[in-house]
Amino acid sequence: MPLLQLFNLRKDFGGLRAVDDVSLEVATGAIVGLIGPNGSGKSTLLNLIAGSAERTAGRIIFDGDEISGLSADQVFQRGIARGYQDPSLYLKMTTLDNALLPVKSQRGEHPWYAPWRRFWQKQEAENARAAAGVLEQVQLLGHYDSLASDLSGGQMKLLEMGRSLMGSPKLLLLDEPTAGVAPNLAYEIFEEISRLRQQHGITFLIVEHRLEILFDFVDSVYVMHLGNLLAHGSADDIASNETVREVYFGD
Amino acid sequence: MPSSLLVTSLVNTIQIGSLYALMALGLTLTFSVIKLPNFAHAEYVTAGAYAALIISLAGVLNPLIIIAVAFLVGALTAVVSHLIVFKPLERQNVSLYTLILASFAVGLIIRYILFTIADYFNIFDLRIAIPLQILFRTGSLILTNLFAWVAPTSIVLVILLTLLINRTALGREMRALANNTILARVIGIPVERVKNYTWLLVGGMAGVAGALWGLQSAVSPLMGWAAIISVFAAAILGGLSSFPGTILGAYVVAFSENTIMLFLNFSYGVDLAYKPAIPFIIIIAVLLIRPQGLTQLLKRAGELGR
Amino acid sequence: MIKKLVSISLLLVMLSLLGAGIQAQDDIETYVLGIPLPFTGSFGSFGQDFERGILLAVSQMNAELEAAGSNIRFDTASADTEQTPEGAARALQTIAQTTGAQVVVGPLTTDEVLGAKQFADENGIVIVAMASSGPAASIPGDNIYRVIYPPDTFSSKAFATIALERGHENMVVLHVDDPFGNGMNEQFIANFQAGGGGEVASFGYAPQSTELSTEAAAVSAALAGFGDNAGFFCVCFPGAAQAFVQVAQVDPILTTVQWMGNEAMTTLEMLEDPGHAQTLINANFVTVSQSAASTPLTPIFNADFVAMFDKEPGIFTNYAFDAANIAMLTMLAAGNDGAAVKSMLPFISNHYIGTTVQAYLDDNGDQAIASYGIRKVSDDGTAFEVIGSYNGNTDTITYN
Repeated sequence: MPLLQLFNLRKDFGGLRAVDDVSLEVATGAIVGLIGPNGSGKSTLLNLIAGSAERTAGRIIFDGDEISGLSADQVFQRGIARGYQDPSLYLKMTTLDNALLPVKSQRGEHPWYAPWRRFWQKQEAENARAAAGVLEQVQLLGHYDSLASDLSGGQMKLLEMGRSLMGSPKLLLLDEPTAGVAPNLAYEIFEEISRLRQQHGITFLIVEHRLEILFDFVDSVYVMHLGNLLAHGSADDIASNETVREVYFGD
Repeated sequence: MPSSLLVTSLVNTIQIGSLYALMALGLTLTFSVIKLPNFAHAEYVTAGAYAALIISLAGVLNPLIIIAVAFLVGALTAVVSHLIVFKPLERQNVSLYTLILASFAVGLIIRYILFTIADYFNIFDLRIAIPLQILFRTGSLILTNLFAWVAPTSIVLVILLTLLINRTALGREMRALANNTILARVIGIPVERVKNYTWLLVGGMAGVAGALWGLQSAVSPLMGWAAIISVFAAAILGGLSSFPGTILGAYVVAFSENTIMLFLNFSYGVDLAYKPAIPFIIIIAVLLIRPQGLTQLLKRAGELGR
Repeated sequence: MIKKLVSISLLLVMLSLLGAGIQAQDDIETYVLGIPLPFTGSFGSFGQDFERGILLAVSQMNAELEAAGSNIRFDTASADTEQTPEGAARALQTIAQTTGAQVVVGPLTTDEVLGAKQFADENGIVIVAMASSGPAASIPGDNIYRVIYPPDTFSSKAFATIALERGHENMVVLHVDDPFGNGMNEQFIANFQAGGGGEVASFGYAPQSTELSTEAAAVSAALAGFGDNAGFFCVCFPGAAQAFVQVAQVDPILTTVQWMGNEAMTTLEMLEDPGHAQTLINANFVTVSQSAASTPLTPIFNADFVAMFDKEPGIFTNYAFDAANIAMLTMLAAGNDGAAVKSMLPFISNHYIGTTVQAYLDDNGDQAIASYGIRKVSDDGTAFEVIGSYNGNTDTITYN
């Protein structure tokens, strides 16, 4: 059974139909690419799945449950995390704080426990250890006490990904993870993605413009154009698909 | 200015400043986490004071119990006003002006409920009558157990709140909300729950401030409203976002209202009745000259709590 | 079904019209007495008690009028002055515009009375104030009558006389910064210095203050500066007075000097805190007060009040009762017309003896008979008791 299924998902902004009856599937443990020209509705689609935009029609099934209509934090609690094109971090908080924010059911979240350190100290230490593990994985452990604003663009992307991991997600939605990142680091980011899939069994749905890198890593690719799904297939199929070449590469 | 007057006024500054800090931190929290300059904040103070007064009249004279009850009633008032008024309004995405007006209205409603209660039991201008003990005495200064309760309790609570914001998971999430509520939702922070807890803390602190105010002065339905401009002045000095800035602001306002006012009166004959004008002058001056408040003086400025 | 409903409603409308017609035939004429008083704020309990005093007077008058077969009845219309001059003006306007009242009993403080004055003068409405005493409202020819309580010209002189008699060389005054407090302060200084007194240091506090530690520090420092033989005089409203005593009771200087204070601060709430009562006893606190005065009608008023409202009348409540009676008697004689009431009110009040003292109005429309009691806190700290009297018209003090 696929991890994520969309049925006839539709989103209207006023008169504009940004997403038009899109149905797709993401298999458990897969890395799936989502490509298309600018304005084809990819980011909107990610927002609909993550619950940060409200759908006009259609259904979203995640892990066997319908999640259409849940709020963003509820969707996150179910196991879907979303990354952004511009890294959305708390710039004035430390790297470690940023990583700790999404941790579920912390005791120190409750005002009646918070004043008594011994009620949450142990759990907080465990969380910090987990966060340190994640930061090490994304090579940011040395920067745990820096403000997020002091990190480089690529490091911010990695921190954002690390933060998503802290919520132990089943599905990561990434929006151009390599945008604004130096080419060598861009490849590293995708290797990191691949490693995460192997080690944690995380499923990925990735919007990406650097097709040459993307095609090296994906299991399958969906192509969007003007809110519609244009094609679906393996990286090789898509690369040689005439219609796709026409709308996407303009030749 | 005679030295005895200076000493007395500085003692008053510490006492009043600590109370202002307790109230102003709540205001700063609501403004940054909930995004609301809450004028009803004054009435949480009064509600806590009346709760404290009523149980003290019922014979409970243990200051700790009185403070705990004031915390609970203040917190309850704040949470209820959030659930009944502010939360539904936020859902409808109303403008900031609407929210401010609503906060005025909520304040008025609570104030007149308190008026009705005070009128029914005929409890106006009464003090929370903890027996007075003199702890320290010189020719020009007497310190009592009231001073020993009011100033340290406020300072301890202010420190606790600062630690809570900077060291605990709840504080981390409140800081996140203060910076970006939408992002907080996306990364799975239970936004509604954190907001409820924020209201709880804010109301509780205000309630305690009311009880302490009632210990050292008198309880009336207008007491919170009379103090709110000074409290706003303190919060605005803190740039409405910084904790140390707000605390510093609270003492600056109290110092201006006591020591500077007395100095002006003593040296230049300025009438003490101008005292209520001081917080207004501070607010206008800060907004004109330094809208960011005192925050930029401090490292890692701009983030709630720092 | 709908037809039935319509006909029933029509029937009801006709019946109500018929009722109005019957009433009109009876030819009852209703005069409205306005009651602009502070029903909220720290004077809220005063305002509500005064209103009860006025309602008692009105119900007694209506019963008498009915028994005598008169076709005139009195009705009342109340509005909250919120204890501010602007609020008083609004309250008066509301009453006048909704009921057409020509005469009002109230407002309470001089500040409020002056706030309502312009609207009253311009619209020919007569203000009968029961407890305002600030000299600022002593104005000849206007629409303000202050029928029972004499202006503070007398009491400020009484306080100056007591201060001099106590041997104070210098005085420190804390007063509310409004027409009442400022007037009291100025006249006290004038009388004190005319009688041979020395320097007076005065401090005004803002009327809405609920916390007076700054003021107490200033008063304390000024007293220390004067050294021995300095006295303290407090002209405060009840709430501020409570807050002041709360701070002053632990002040090293204020606890060693003698105090005097205006009548309004001598409420029973002031004595509810034993520490406050003890502070006033130690300070040899005295006040000069009118409310101690009584006539044979006073106990009857008290009994009637308890019978109607099931509680004791508060301080000054009988002043409101007397003011309402003077207003109603004048209206019965002159008709429901502001100008006529204004012209006739001095004549009526000069022939009135109520539950307080005889009224006798001077050229300003103010009570001219000034006979005060001098009161202090009783030794057990539970009440204010009379220890002497002051005759304002002869400036003489007599101790019991």
